[in-house]
Amino acid sequence: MTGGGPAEPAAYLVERLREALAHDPRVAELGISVTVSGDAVLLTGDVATPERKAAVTEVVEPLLEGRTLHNGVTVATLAEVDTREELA
Amino acid sequence: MIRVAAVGDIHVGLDSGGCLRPHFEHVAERADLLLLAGDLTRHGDPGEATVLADELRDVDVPTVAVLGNHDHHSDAGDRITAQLVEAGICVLEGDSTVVAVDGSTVGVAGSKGFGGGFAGACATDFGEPEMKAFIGHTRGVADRLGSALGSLDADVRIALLHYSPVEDTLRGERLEIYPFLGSYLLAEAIDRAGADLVVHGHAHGGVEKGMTPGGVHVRNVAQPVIKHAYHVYCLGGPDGSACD
Repeated sequence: MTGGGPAEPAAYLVERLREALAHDPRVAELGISVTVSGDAVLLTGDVATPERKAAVTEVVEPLLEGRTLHNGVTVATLAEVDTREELA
Repeated sequence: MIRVAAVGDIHVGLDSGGCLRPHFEHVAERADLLLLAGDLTRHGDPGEATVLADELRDVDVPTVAVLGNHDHHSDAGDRITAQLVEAGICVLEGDSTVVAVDGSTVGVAGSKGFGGGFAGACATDFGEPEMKAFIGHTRGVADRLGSALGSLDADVRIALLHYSPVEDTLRGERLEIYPFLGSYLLAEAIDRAGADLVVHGHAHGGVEKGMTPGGVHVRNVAQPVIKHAYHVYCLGGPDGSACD
């Protein structure tokens, strides 16, 4: 947003952020959900490491144009393999 | 009885060294072979494939993989395939392999697969060349998968994919993106050829269990779905024996 004009419509911002998260090699994630609500931007989904969650913030923050980021991305942990399924 | 470990969407990056190895080093105690259902790297960088090969170096069961869309992002799919093959991993795309397990044989036919959508709402190869190319690609990979599966001579037959052949395992994903998550053409090819199990990934927001219209078990093993290093499925051998 420049010159005090109207804020970018939320729908376009959502896709701009999703494109950035997909194409920036620090993240390269297609599965992060972006929700814009008023001045807040909420990100949800899973990444493998805390560093990748931090990278999500690094990639998105410069694009927010004053909105507030809520990085709700979860760092996935792998449970011990302790079960198996029998398929007839 | 054949024990199949499977996982997809492990998205190994340059920063992943040491993250997966501890989870895979004991796989031979739990399974007879390991299937990798694509998206093995973050963005298809050969450097990531080097890390991946190192993470899998202690896996001492036959390992069979297909690539996923992320593995093609840097246009280096052939190089990544070569790196994995050099590391002892069988990488399939429209072909198959047979593994001997304790007196039985398990055949795996594999393909990345592709999108297009599902019966009643599937994209059609009509109109612009780009649309024809999109569905043409799906038809091509489905046909090659079906041929590979149909020609398998094994006690147990498995189809290994990245994209989903059914809607069942996509529940939880947004309906609008189903056409980018899989195609019924894959299920149709599998049902015609026959199989005991289909394994796929790609749908991080989906669910694990489904079935083809022809009654073949489908399992979405995307790691964000199964939340384990891998899941293990037991399939009967020629005598129909189940898990011990």
